[in-house]
Amino acid sequence: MDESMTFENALAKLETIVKNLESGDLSLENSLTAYQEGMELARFCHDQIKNAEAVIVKLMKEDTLEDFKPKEE
Amino acid sequence: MERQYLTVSALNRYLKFKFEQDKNLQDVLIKAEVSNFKRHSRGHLYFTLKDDTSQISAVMFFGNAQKLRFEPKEGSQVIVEGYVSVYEVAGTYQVYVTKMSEAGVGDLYRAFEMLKKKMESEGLFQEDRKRPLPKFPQTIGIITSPTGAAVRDIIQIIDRRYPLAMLILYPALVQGDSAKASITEQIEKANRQALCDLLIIGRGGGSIEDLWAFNEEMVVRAISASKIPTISAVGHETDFTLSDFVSDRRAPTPSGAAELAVPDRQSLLVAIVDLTKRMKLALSNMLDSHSSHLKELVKATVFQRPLRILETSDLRLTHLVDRLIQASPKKRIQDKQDHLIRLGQTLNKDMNACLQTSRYRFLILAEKLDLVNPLGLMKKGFALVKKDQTIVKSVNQLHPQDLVDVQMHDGSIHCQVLSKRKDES
Repeated sequence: MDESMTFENALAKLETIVKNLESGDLSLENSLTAYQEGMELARFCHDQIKNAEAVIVKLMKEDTLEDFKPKEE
Repeated sequence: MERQYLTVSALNRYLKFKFEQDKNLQDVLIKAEVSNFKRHSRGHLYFTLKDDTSQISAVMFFGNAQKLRFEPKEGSQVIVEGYVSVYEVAGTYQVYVTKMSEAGVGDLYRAFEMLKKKMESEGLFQEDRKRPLPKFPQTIGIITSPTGAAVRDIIQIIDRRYPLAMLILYPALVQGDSAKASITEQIEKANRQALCDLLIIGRGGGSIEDLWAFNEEMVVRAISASKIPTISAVGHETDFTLSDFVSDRRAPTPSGAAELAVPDRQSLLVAIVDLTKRMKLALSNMLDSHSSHLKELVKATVFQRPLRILETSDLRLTHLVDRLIQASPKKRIQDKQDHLIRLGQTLNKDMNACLQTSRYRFLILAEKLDLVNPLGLMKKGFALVKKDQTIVKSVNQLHPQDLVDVQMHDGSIHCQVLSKRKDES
C-alpha cells in the first residue's frame, strides 16, 4: 500500500473496485486480484479511522503555526 | 441571635413589590431600538429595547400586541409605553409594554437591507456561485475568536467525527469596531497561505450588534472572493447575516458548521464494512456462477457419454457414403450406355424403315426411268440425228449435202442429206 495514499483516495478506489466486482465484467483472475486489492484498501481505510488519534489543532500566530488548546470553560 | 433566612421567591416577591411602589416605574415612555425580537406561539412578544450603550428586556402580552398598528421587527426604532416590574420566576426585571409605535426604521436594519440589495444585484448570493464542499477535508481553517465557545465546539465535534482532519485556527476579533478588519485579514491570509481546503467563518450567538461584523461589506466581499470553499457559522439558528448569504454553505451554529464540514467516522466505518461485504458477496457470486457453469459443462453429453459423439459421426458417415454412391460416375456411365444402346436400336429400326422405303421408291423410279430411257426408245426403232455432235431437233437445222450422224441403239451411221421436206403443221 502506497504510503502517501489518503483516506479519501483509498475510499474512492475501494468504491470503484466494489462496483467493478459487482458488474461481473471482470474475468475470474482479475476479480481475484481486484478483491485482494479491495480488501487491502478496506483495511487501510478502517485502520486510518480506527487508529486516528485526537484531531491536531494549530494556531496561526502571525505566519507560524503553534499548538493550540482551547480554554476549558 | 439567629438570622432569619429568605427564600428566593420571597426575595423576588419583595423586589416586585418595591418596583410597583415606585410611581415613576409604573408609567414609562421610552424611545429605543427593537432587538432579539421573538413572537411566542401564544401571541406574546418578547424583545430587547436598546440604545447605543444599554439594553433592557421587554414583553408585550397578546392582548396589547393585538392592537399594534405595525409589524415590529429586528432593528425597528420604537416608542413604547408601559411599566417596569419584576418577573418573579426568573428574577429579572423588564418593561411590560402596553403600547408601541414605530419611530422610523432602525439604522442598522436599514444599512443591512441596503447592502443586501446592492450585493444581490451584483449576483453575489446566487446559487450557481455556491461550490460543493470537499467530502473529506484534510485541513480546515477556522476563522473566529480563539477564546469563544465557537472554536471549542467546532474542535470538539471535528475531533469526535473525523480526527483525520487537521485544524488551523486563524484568530480573529469577532466583535466591536476592529472585528470587520480582523476577520477580513484572516480570510485573506488563509487564502494567501492556501494550507486549507475548507474555511469555517463565524462566532457564537449574540445580539444583532454583536454579530454585525458579519454584515460588513468588507467581510462579505472577502468571503465571496475566497478561493477556498467557505461555511458561515454566525450566531444561532435564527440569526441571518450577509456572510450566510454569500458563503458556500450556511451553518445554523458553529457546531452545525463542524458537522457540515466533515463526515462522521462511525458512518464511514459502517460504509467500509458495507463495501467489504459487497465485495465478498460479488466475489462469491462470481465463484458460484463459474462453478455452476463448470457443473453444467461437465453434465454435457460429451463428457457423460463420449461414445455418443462417435455414434453421431458414424451415422453421418453412412449417410455421406450413400450420397457418394448416388453421385458415383459409374452409375452415370451405365445410364449413358443404356441410353446409347437404346438410341442405337432406335437408329437401326429407323434406318431399316428408311431403306425399305427408299428401295421401293427406287424401283418405281427405275421403272419410270426405264420408260423414258432413250436407249429403250432407240431399241424400238427411234434414232438420234446429230450434226457436229449436236442433236438435231428440226429440219430447219439441216440443208442438203450436210453430213450427219444417225445414232441407233447399237451403233451409228454417217449419212449425207440428200434433200429435205418440211412438214406443214
